[in-house]
Amino acid sequence: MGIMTEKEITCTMCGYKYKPSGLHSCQSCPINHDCSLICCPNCGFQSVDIEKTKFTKFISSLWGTKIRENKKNEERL
Amino acid sequence: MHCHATTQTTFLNSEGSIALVGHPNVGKSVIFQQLTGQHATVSNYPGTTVEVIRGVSRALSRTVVVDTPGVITLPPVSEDEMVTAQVLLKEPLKAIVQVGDAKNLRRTLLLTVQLAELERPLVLALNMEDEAIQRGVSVNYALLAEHLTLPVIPTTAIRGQGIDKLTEAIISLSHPHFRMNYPADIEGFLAEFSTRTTKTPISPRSLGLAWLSGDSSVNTWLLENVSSDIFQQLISLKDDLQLKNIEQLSSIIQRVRLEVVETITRLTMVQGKTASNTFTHKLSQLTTHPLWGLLILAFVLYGIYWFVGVFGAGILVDFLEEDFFDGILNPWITGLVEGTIPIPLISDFLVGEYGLWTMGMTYALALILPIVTVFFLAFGVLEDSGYLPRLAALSNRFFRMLGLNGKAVLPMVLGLGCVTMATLTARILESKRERLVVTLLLALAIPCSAQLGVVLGLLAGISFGATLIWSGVVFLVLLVVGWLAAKLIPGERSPFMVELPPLRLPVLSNVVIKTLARLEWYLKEVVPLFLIGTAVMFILDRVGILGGIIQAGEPLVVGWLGLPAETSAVFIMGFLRRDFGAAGLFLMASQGMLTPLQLVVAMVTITLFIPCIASVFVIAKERSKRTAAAIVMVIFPLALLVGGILNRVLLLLGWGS
Repeated sequence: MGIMTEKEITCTMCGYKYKPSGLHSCQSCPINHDCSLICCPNCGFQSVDIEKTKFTKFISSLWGTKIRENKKNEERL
Repeated sequence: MHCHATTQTTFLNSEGSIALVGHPNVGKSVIFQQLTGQHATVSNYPGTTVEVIRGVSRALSRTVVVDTPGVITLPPVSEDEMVTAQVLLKEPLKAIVQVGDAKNLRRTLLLTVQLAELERPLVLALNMEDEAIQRGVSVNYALLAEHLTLPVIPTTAIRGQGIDKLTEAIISLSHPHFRMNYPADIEGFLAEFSTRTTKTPISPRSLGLAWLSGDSSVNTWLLENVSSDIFQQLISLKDDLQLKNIEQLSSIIQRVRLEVVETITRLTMVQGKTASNTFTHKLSQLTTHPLWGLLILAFVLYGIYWFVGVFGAGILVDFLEEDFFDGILNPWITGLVEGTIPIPLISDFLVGEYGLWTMGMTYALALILPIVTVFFLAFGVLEDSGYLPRLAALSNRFFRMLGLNGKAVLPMVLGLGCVTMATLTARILESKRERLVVTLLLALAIPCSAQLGVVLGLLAGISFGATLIWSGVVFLVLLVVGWLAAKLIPGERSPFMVELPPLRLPVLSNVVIKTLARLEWYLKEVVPLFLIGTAVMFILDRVGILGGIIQAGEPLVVGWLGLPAETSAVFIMGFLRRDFGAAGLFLMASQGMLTPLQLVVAMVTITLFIPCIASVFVIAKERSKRTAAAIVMVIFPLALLVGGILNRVLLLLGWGS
């Protein structure tokens, strides 16, 4: 049985991993439908839910890069 | 061997499962997989949407292992934490395994001492030992085990290191006899509590402590398991205890635990220096230092002022607004519209004084877009460098003066990104009082990134002194209102505990992608609001109400604030979004209609104005409609009051008139 199916986001501030669909606060936000910025439920830090963007996703795919994961940050220290 | 066989038998004879408990992202799931193999069942915990993973461990004589959701704080606040608390409180458990981060011993131990108080068999697996060593963290595990009176096993679960020893330690079913001494009156209460409660799922002492700390699940357990007489007795004992203490009981308990954790950490951990972290470590310490931290903050602010104000609002806006829009695009579009649409009403609606293109789109694209673009870039650099949590730690000293501390600081700093989202983030605060005070302060004095960009851009056109006056006044209002609100709204304060991520060089791709995402949001959310606002202004103008409003607002706007009468129209725009109003001021200033003094007064007033419509909706939804109405009723007159006072003070000082 698969444990995780939805892609997790790693907060670049605190390293907390979470699923965007589980964010109750975003579901309450009146501008949620147009907003691709999500808040970490641990520290509140904003990240980009790249799946919810169109233009940014397109540019990102051209660039061939992704939002860095926390592990990568630590490696660079 | 004989001893091992005995413990194995005891383990086999005991009933229940093994619960893996720990902070988020400490490697619980990896340890779970190491103990149980690949097979796991995932199901929602009864009555919740939170997933709990269970698996069977062969190494532990086919005992069920439960991987609980990560806990950030106990008593629980989030639904995830509630589930973990329920597992600890209600499920039959053979033993608890706390998985902790060896790099972050303080945070780990704060949970350990609470789990040890449950008086159930407990093992501490200090995971990510390899990373701790890399960072120069050295833990004396034997001494730590001695202080905590429980097995402490260093593990690097991802490589399977330490798992065998962990399994042995679990089988030993070692009961900790660790005890913290609380103040005498709390100890007295705990003794009374223990005599009145029987068949408690965890030790009566820890149940009593959890209840004093405000754990609602204990309240439910008491209601279900003790008679109403005893419950009333316990309530009155608790109330008496609180009356004897000025400080909240939960804060006293937490303080004792923090002191114990600090002592144990100091005795058992040594933070060495490695070549890679010496510089960043030093810089990191300086950013939160009371003096150096402020100097670094001043340097950061000056950098933003220069980049956003001088470069963004000066060079970029000059080019886009004056040269391109006013010089080329707008005359061409106006000519085209007027030439093709013969009806003046419609052409005015598109390209007139309050035209959708000449006002709405020009404000959005030529004035604000370049400013917010450079501000989003600057903000992205700060975010990606890990500076913002350090700003939160530094600000904590000032916010503590307001009676605010702990996680309350984070939404305030994050409000600089988006006030609407920060208002939602206020949910992470534990006390109702903090949620309310933070919501008020966010609505009043925290400009969001778009507003901040426009304000900084506009003020940069005058001088750095104007920026300092604006920021000084807004910060002062924040302090005074926050202090007053904290005094007037009763409630408890939660302690400050933030994990600082490493300070690092920002990655260009991250900053650019985040800036693009923010700009996409800006164009989708803000531009339509600008167009709606422009349409409202057009209608008000056409039906003759706008003139009436400007006239009616004269005593306040001209008499009290000392601004030109036309500024009333800008304030109406500010009702929709503060940056829309600020853009109007920008244009008035560029047309020479405002003196530096008037501009600073107008900027302070509009910054303190009611937040954007989305924020008001969120406040109504999160707190209540009454709270939202009350906040607006406080903010609106307060913004005008502060603006008027500033006008008089600056006039007296002879500044910028």
